[in-house]
Amino acid sequence: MDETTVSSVTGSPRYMLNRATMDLCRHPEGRKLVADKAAFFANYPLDDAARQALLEQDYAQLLELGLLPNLVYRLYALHGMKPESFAKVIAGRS
Amino acid sequence: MATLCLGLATSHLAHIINTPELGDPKQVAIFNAGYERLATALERAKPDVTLIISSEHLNTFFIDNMPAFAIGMFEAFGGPIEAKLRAYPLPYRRVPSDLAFSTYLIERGLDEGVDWAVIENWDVDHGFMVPIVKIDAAGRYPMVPVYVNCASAPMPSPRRCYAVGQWLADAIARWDADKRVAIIATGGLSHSVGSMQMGWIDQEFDQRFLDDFCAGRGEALARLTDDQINAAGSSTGEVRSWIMLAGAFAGRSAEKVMYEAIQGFDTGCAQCIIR
Repeated sequence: MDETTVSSVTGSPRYMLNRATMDLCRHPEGRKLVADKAAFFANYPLDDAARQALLEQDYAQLLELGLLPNLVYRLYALHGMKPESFAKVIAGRS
Repeated sequence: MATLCLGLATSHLAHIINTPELGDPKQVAIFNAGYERLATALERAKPDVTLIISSEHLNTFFIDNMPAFAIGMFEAFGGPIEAKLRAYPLPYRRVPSDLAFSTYLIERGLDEGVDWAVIENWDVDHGFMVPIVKIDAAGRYPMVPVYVNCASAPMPSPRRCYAVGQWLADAIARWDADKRVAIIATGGLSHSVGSMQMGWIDQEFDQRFLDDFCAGRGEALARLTDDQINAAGSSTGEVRSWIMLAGAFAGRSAEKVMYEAIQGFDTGCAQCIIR
């Protein structure tokens, strides 16, 4: 999503969080971009809670904020984590 | 007129191809043997065309524009899309479809209250491709892909899914073609990809669901609520494809081929045949 499009977005309360995450997960360089998520998400009009949860990889909070579980899982894997470890990580944080 | 000749239902998780080592070997063998039985059933039924009903996983549709139901209208489609995006064990392949059949379903549906979203170019994801590869490895059977939203609430209600399944059977019976039609439903049963419950399998829900499905009590499945389904896992909504199949074969009993709660796959895995 380019800058013009992002700045013009309106939508549901959960839309921008899902849009931003989807764009990162689908980006061809996504695995590299997670190293500086703050820069990637800077252009998205996220509220503070969503931005903080994304930067801190707070998956429980992301779910609370309405990030679709499938995208939570993709975001987790994008950080180089083994997908099969997700359940244990989530259980450990809950 | 066309004949509805077979119904198959199966879980569609990609672990069975990509990472089978995560599952208990005995359970994985049972799952694979089940796929072989489904393949044999399809071969014996000799369908001219097969509808395959599945959810997707935000690979084609996103919350920008999320249809409840969609259908492919083309002579062929491809998949899995994952193989175009990254290294993926299941290679991308072309799948023949049936333009005349899909066009008929779309035209009849739009006139009779099933307002399909229409897809004329589609790289489907593993939800379709894993069962296709496992059941029709040689690519002999034309497949018409049907999408049901199980990825993002609000989703079509079980009651609506059942009704659309009933409509499909009725429309197939009215299709002026000497064709045999099979339906494959894919997805479920209980699982929770990416949510706090991931790893938990609601075996009680699965057993109740299978009991009703196999006894031909589709009306009971149609009465399930979103809350009841969601309580069994954040991804359990994929049972909507099974409910559509139950509608298409309303009142018909099904044979349970297998059920295994495969912990390494984080999923209650099931397969059934309706003859």
